[in-house]
Parts: sequence; structure tokens; C-alpha cells
Amino acid sequence: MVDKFKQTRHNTTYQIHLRVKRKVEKGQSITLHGGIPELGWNKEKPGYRMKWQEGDYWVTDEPITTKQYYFQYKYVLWDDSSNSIVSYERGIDRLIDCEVLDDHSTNSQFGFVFNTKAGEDSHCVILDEVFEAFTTCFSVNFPEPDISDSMVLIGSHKAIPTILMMKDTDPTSWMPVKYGEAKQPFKITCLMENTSSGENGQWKIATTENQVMYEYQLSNKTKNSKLIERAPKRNFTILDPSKYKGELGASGSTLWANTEEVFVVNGFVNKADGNFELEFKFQKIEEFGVTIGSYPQKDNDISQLRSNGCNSVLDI
Amino acid sequence: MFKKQGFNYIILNPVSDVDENEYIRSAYEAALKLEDLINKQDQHVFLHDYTGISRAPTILMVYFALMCRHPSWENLGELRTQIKRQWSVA
Repeated sequence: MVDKFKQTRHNTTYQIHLRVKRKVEKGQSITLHGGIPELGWNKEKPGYRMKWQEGDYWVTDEPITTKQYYFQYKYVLWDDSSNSIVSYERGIDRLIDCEVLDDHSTNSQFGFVFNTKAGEDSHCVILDEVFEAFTTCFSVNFPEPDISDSMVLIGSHKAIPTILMMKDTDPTSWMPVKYGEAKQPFKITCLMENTSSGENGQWKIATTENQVMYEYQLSNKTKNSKLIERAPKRNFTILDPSKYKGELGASGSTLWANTEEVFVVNGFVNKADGNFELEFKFQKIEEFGVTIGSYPQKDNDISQLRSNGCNSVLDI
Repeated sequence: MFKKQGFNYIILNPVSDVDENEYIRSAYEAALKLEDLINKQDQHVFLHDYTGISRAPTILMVYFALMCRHPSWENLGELRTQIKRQWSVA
């Protein structure tokens, strides 16, 4: 998938502007270190000095120009007088994937200017980030929608409170390969800390902060009902950024669809969970010798199937 | 659990609906398995995914259209409606 993508995009130049808010001490500044020559992945030198703006924002003065559409980087607190690192931003290293960021060559933000040249295939992107944090958008679809439905996200992670989700007001393209038609999923976006890692942002295996457990609860006021998804709870694990191979850019989507393993890309996890998991249900279609249903979890579920004439299983 | 209750064939054939090409390939493969179990091994098959809402009905549709030549096989919209009539969450 990635190879095919590279073949078709090898002439593109990416121009990148970044902005992050961070209050620093007098004589300190924020620099960017990254895994491309333009950001000098060198712990002894400032890769790219950012410029201070009112409101304690740090911005790129000139766009970072590269032909790599994805790479790792990190914000670094820099001491100007000694010309040395004070500290790295905590948490695992950041990842940018320019291919899933909107092009701003004609519609810039925050006063950023790009150096586009006539005839050059430039993709101009802006990334506005939160220091030592990232956001996660959780989304789930309920297959039998009712106007009185409401969905709540219940998280075990400190960053995910029990919180009411919002339903898309208009049908939207969401997991298009799966559904083939617009859907109105429930969504909520949470800000999550990115403060736990190995030394200087290296990946640390079994960091509990990188594993997030959560579940969805559907309520219906009219029916006075509350329905929690069948166990086990949902979860996702944040993967080592150094293993990222531009999967999102190659797919052309920010969605991590129906997977328990994600990368934090562009300071964001777009966690699309497909369908709310209902109680065990099945339907026999006698004339075709098949019964269709959901995942059976208990002996009793299987007994029901057996007594309804099923004698083989195809688990997809 | 299935073996204990006398099931003859327990086939795992994962179908991923994330990438379109992979979805098409694996859905066709699963429909072939379904055909083999029903028509060659004479089994009554329980077809399931995790929720039974999207992938399983899709495989059923592929099986009906391509292997059974269902009366509505050339009209996928109608075929889908007929599946939904029997399995409303599809």
C-alpha cells in the first residue's frame, strides 16, 4: 500500500508550518528536533528555532520544506544563553503525516506564509498542537437509530471521563469502505496527556499510559433503557512512532477503523469503532441453509444455535 | 465450545473491511467457504462477525448474488432490502 503511494507522489514538496503554545522562562525558547535533515536530528544542536508570538505561541517563521510526507519530531525547551537543551517535551515522539492534512496554499491560518514556486507540486500544511498532549476522537454507530438515543463514553483512562457523545447532525462519510453510504455516528473528542515514555521520547514497552480501555453506553429516554456493550471492553494501544510507515497518508484517511492498535499522527487519533455491539442475536434463513448473527460468547448462545439447527460455523 | 456442542466445521476466515481491495478479496473468499459448507458439505452454517451488522450480511449478499444466483442477484439494492427484511440490523 505504501509503496504504491510513493510511486505516485515522489515529486511533491511539503511545506510545513507548526504552532504550539508553551510558556517558557526568560532566556529560553522552543526548538524543533525531527527525523529529517531540515530538523537536524541531533541532540546537541537546535534543529529549528521557533519564533515567539503573543499568547505564548511558538511558531515556525519559515515553512519546513521537505520531500518526506511523514517523519518523527519533538518540541524541545532550549536555553539560549548556554545554547543547550533544557528538556525534551515529555511523552512519545510526535509524528506528522502531511498527506492527511488540508492544503493551505491558498487559505493560510495564523498569518503563516508559504514559499510556493510556479510549476512546483507543493503541499502546504499547518499543524496547531498542544504541548505534551494529543486529542482522540472516539466514534461509534448505533445500527437501529432512534431520535431519543444518547450515547455515553465511559473511559478507564484518566483523560477520558464519562462523557456524553454528540451525534453528527447530517449523514457523513465515515468508514466508507465498511458502509458504502453516509452514516450519523456518535462522536466525542478528548484531550489526552502525552507525558509517559522512555528516555527523551523513546518508545517504552508496557507503558500503561499507552493503553486505553473504554466502553460505550446507549440510553433511550423514551424507552427508559440503558444498554452497555457486551464485554470485553474496548481498548486501544498507542504504537511505537518509529514503526510508522505513512499508513494514513497512503490510505488518504485519518481514520483508525476497527483496530486496537493506533499511531498518534498529527497530534490526533481518529478512533472509529464501527457498530455498537448489541446483545447476542441471530436469524435463521431456512431456505438457504444459513443463520446469520453476532459473536456468540457463552455456552448458552451456542446451545441456542445448535437447537436451531446450526451444525457448522463460519467466523469472519 | 462449538466442538463440545456437536458442531462439525468451525471455520475462521477473517474479513477486513478497512481496505477496499482487501475487503473485496476476503469477502469473495468467505462466500466461497460458505458455499462449500452449505452445498458440498450439506451443513447448516452459522455465519457471524463481531456484531452481525455489516460484514456478515455483506458476505451473505455476495453468496446470494454470485453463488446462489438469487432471484434478485442483478439488483443489489433489492437483494439488500430482502436481507434487511429478515435481519433488520443489517
